[in-house]
Amino acid sequence: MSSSWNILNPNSPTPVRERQLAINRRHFFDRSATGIGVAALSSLLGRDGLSAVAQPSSDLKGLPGLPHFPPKAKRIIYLFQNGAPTHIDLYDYKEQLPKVHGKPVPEEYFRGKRFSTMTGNPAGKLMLQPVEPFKQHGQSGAWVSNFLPHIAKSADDICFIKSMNSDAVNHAPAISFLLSGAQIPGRPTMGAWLNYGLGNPSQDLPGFVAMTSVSKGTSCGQIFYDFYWGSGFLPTRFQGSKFRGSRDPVLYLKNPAGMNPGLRRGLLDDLAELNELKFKETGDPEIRTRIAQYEMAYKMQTSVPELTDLSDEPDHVLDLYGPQVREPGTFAYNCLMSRRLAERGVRFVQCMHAGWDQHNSLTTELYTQCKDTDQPSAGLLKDLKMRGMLDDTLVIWGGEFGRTPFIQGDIKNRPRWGRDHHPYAFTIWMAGGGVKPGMSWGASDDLGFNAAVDPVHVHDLQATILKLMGIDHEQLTYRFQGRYHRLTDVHGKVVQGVIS
Amino acid sequence: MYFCMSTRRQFFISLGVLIIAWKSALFSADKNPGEIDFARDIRPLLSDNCFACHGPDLKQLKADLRLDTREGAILDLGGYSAVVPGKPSESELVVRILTDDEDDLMPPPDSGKKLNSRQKALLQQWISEGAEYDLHWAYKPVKRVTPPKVKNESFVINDIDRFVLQKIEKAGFGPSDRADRMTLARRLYYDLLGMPPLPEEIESFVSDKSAGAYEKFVEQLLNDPRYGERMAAHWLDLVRYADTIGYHSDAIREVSAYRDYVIDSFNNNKPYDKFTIEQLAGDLLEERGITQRIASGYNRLLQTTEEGGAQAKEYRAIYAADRVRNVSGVWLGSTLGCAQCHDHKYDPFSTRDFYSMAAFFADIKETAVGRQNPNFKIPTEKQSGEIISLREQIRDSDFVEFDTLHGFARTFRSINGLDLNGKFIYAINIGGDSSVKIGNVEFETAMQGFTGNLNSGTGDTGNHSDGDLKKLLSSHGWSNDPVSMILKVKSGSRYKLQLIVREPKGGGHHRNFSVNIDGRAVVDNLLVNARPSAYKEESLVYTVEVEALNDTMKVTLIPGNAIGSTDGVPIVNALTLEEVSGQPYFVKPKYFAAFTKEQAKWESEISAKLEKKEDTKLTGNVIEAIKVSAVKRSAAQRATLLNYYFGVASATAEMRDRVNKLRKSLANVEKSVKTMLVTETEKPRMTRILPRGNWLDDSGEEVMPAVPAFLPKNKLRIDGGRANRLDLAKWIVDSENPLTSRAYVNRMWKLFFGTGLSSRLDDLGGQGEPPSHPELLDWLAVEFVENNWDMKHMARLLVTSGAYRQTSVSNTKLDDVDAGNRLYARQSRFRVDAEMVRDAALRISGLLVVQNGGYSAKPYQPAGYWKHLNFPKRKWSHDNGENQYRRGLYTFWCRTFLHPSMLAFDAPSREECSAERTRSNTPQQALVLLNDPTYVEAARVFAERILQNGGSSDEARLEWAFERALSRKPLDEEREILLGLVKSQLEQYDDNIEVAKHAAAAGQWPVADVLKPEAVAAWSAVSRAIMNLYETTSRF
Repeated sequence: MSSSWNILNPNSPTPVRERQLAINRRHFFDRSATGIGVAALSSLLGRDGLSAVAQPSSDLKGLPGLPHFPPKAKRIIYLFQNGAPTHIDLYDYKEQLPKVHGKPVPEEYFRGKRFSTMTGNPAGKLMLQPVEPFKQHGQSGAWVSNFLPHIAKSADDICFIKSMNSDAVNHAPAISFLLSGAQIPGRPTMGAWLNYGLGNPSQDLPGFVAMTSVSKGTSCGQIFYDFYWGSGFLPTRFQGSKFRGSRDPVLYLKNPAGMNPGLRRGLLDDLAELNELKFKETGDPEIRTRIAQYEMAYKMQTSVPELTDLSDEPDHVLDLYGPQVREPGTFAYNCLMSRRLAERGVRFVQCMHAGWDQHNSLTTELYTQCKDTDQPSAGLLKDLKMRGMLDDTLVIWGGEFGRTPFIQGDIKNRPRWGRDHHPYAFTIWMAGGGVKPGMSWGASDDLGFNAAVDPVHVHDLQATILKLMGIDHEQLTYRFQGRYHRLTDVHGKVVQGVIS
Repeated sequence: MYFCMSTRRQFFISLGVLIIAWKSALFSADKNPGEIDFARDIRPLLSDNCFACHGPDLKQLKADLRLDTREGAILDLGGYSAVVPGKPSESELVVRILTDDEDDLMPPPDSGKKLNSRQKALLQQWISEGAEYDLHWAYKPVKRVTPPKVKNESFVINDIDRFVLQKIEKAGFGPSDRADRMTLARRLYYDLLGMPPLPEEIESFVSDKSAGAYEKFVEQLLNDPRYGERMAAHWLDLVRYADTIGYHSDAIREVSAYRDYVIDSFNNNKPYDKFTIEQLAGDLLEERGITQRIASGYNRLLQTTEEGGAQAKEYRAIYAADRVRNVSGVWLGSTLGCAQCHDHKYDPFSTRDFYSMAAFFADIKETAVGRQNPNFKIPTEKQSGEIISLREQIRDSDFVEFDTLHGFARTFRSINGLDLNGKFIYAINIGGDSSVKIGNVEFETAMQGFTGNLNSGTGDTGNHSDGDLKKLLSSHGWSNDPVSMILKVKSGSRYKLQLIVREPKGGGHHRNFSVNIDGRAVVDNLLVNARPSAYKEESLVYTVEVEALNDTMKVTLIPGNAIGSTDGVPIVNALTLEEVSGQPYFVKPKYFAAFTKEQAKWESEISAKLEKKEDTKLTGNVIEAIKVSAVKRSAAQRATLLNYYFGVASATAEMRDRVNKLRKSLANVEKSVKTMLVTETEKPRMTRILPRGNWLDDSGEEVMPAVPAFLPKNKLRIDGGRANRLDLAKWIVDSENPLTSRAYVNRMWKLFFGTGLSSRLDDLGGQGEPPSHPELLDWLAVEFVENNWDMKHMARLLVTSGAYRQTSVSNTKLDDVDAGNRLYARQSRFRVDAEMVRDAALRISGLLVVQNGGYSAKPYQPAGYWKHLNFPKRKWSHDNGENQYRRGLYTFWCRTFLHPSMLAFDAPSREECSAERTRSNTPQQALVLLNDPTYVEAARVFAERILQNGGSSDEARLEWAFERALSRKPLDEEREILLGLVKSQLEQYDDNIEVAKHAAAAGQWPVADVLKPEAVAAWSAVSRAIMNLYETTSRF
């Protein structure tokens, strides 16, 4: 073996290390050397025999030495709100805004800042008050817009982070930034990192599942790019599995006529063996992924139909999520699916909902958007809480940035009021999974313009999320093209204040 | 590389930049260690961190400072300059990047951008070395570089190897061993033909030990018609070819002829310059045959909408932008699309450049919102023959054309030629610009009541002897739309109308047209054939005899319902009109006497009934006409009666029946003719710069077609006229264009080596990745241009290089340093593309129908997969018979619901130019290969063939199967596993014959009845295992 092994961080497998681990395992299971037959091997390894052969241990158990700390959360449901919900109108209540409504935005707030090309230079733009009144809720007294009555009722379970800020001003780079730590596509996303680091505790579902939905009648749905759940330079088996928005989230699950599970099992056992032989010859890591994915596919043939069979969900549970829950492909349905996936151990559920891009539809489409997401989001929290799952399930709700406190459009034309992209301050919230409930962290300035108190940068949020999962964000790395990469790039500070 | 890149990425800045910032010297351009290379080291840094406010976008310019040009950087800003060459300490830029004062720090902290110490040092070093600016690499002229010297000469087969090896050696490595013959054969088959080889296809190559055997084999593959199909798949991704329109309803459209054009072009090795010109401007070429017209369909491949509420103006803007993105992406490897709302942030493209590019396409005739009607028909030879024959039969029947309306008219080709002896009321030279005289007849140009637009033509006059007629024919008018003229006549009089038609000489220049008089078809889709004997006078004149119903007669010339390679424009050069009396000009059909008699009898019977007030069961206008005595009836009344009675008379019954059948057959043949959307032109729409891309804003300046101002040879027309798509296409393939050749050879490299020399195949600009081997890229680009854009030459050069022939097996040392294989110290290995995955299964099983071109095919697809498609709702009905087993390339490409098996293997939706596909590895792929009926059927049929052809022992069968699928014999371990599988499956199926019968009958392909179902079922497990091996669908 090459001496270059020694320089590697033991917690940081590279393609080389992957290969070495595989070779060791192979020697252990080398049939021709030990003379153990296929059937014997399968029985020797029990039910999960094949996966033990097929999957590197890291897939199941994660990397050695991880988690770094006792985890507060075991899994994450990220309710990603694509298009950027307006913090000004939903969560970040500012007394000052109605007072300056219609007045030009003060220069000291925007000097030297970059805005989307639609706004360009904000000089002379007029301030715009929230389109809907706020009220305080719960013991914590959190301010929430009347547009979100259900989330408001759950305020005491929620930790609002009101000082979020990001680097990117456009959707796809900003979403990529939030999920992968880089604005450019091609880096591993959070779900991929977590499965790589911690393994997949689900026996029979992918450890990282992505689902998407769009509000009906929304005029600016964003595209869902597959790199939002990509694995970047990590082995491709860590990429998110995209579930389709229908009763058949995964196609081709059914065995063909004349093929029963027993026959299929026998075939797959042999197939894995055969692929292993090729791996032995070439060392190509993609073959290992292939073997693992066949095994996962086999399991999904049973687990997915069971996952989507809602007959065991009583009405009072379904009703928590609102009326759309019975319609596959809606946000409500996906929220319910998220809970069902979480129950089955899936490490990271990325539930993405588009339509928050209210450039000119604050007074029209924002209401619908809230209506479609409010009850399902709150319903998910209640449901998890009811089952005792909220303690170790981290729910994150938020978009890629916020929206400008000033108007986009003509202030005299209320039906076309809008707000542009705004990365300098926005609000997201988290609940469960070791996060302090019923609190707000940080604050924007008096106009909701810039993160003013305890700013939380995207990399800080990522560091915090990893911390909650028991990971030191500086220690979860992967060497690629001469450099150790991590989710937080070279940045990120854990926000201790939100951790219980 | 594992990068999971989207295919729709034009908005994103690239990964490349990141790599530059961190890469080791290994991956950078060849400069001496420590020497600054502006393009490599500095420009990306400035581009990333400074250009947003100090770059080419003047609207965003801060502090009047530009750092994208040297003039801007060293400009005196009032006693100081951002950059003082040679003096970093006096340069404000250096002060500002080093300061601790947050207010002064650049880039500003709130921008989120931050320079690291290495980057700061680079900038200082650059300034101290003189702050030289260098043009971005991709915009520099392409220069041929002398291939470098290398140590290991024995590795070198052609010059490519010198460039590759030099770098490998510099990094302290050596190249990999040559792959074995079998691996090479499979690699070449996948790379050049897109499917694995059958044993008989590679047998002679694998055993041919003579020198030049490899080259001979490559040559054979380059001449295989499957080559064109394989290469087409990648081109179709670029030009976003699809079978549906994309937006809203995603309705179906027929453009498969374009796909076949691409296949043929690769097979015929059409030079890339010609290939380019034909697609962008085939319709504008002087010499435009069917091929060029079909090629021009490129301009129609964009996404369009039929949505009722959509605004035409908005969609015009969307289409314009789509075309700019595509043409710049496909041919220039540039993201000109980013300059739609603002000047490009990283490349020197301005918003003006964007809209000037859009203006090239402003002449394309299309429906802004609504269905794009097929405007080209491509009948097969058989169909053409049938159409001509049916038309002639209809014309030659004695069917009198008064079936449709109130009149009485008949057309026939004049046997006497142009009759100049009449007393013409009109003699009109249509579209001519000078008056022409033939005999005593003056053809006037002016015409009253003329509507429509005529373009003057410059028709070939042929060899007609009469000079004036020649002149007349050469000045024919043509139009894409109907043209009408209103002629003054006397109601009830009979007229002879002569249509003087230009018939082209031989060749593929057919045209056809219809003529209506007062809405009645008198010349119905008359095909003016190209005949070798054209320009004989008698073939030029069509005579219509017609009765005037009113005081005016509206003559309408209608563009042909393009048939064959017709241009579909009316080509009537002139017409004459004279009043005639006495005997009708034409000979009455034989049955006419009987018919007239019969009609008179019928009229009197009806009259009698009417007197008795009995119900005649006739409509009002017929009864009214009968009530009038025969001599007093108006022309219209006579026509009404004639018209009605013609349809019921027993004298005409047989003929009516015969003609109706002919017409039905004609309609059926015409309906079955393949159509196409080709480019047709109209008066160019005005193109304005849309401020911030806002299509509602009409305040922007109007622009004329122009290419990006900073690129060479940007003055397309010295005459100052409006440049057109042909000018654009010629500029794109001008040898001095620095982008075209680089973009293409880079993509070709990727096809054969796994990653582009610049890994961003769709962006050679500032946010792309500088090439790993810049000299090699340029060398290839020059080689391409100097060999007259010979695509096969380039493919040959790449796959015969020593670099290509290396093994793909890696080693730990190489993996650690070069996981992405950018040194090419070994070949790349990867799972093949979606189409090839399908082709492999069908090929191995023997099901694949090898046939170039044709309609798109519909393989099996899960029921209800299209249920969300609307306007109208539609169902996927899979094809039966041969079309079920076509190559993946031919799969019906529905943009919003692409076939799920194709999608699972990362085929792009083709909404936008996709230069690169993701290569994922997912459980969904396993499910496709195991359960998609296509693969289940293929496994079953493969099993049958193993049993039928593989010999009598299981060992022999397994060997046969391995040879067929993997081009090799099984290893002992493989043999053991698979023979065990056969045995265990047989045991289980023996106990479950019914289950076995199901397995042995998968799919619609006829079952081999002679075989035992349990044997087929058991061997299906083996064939399935083989077909599911990673090796089977991977290229090593």
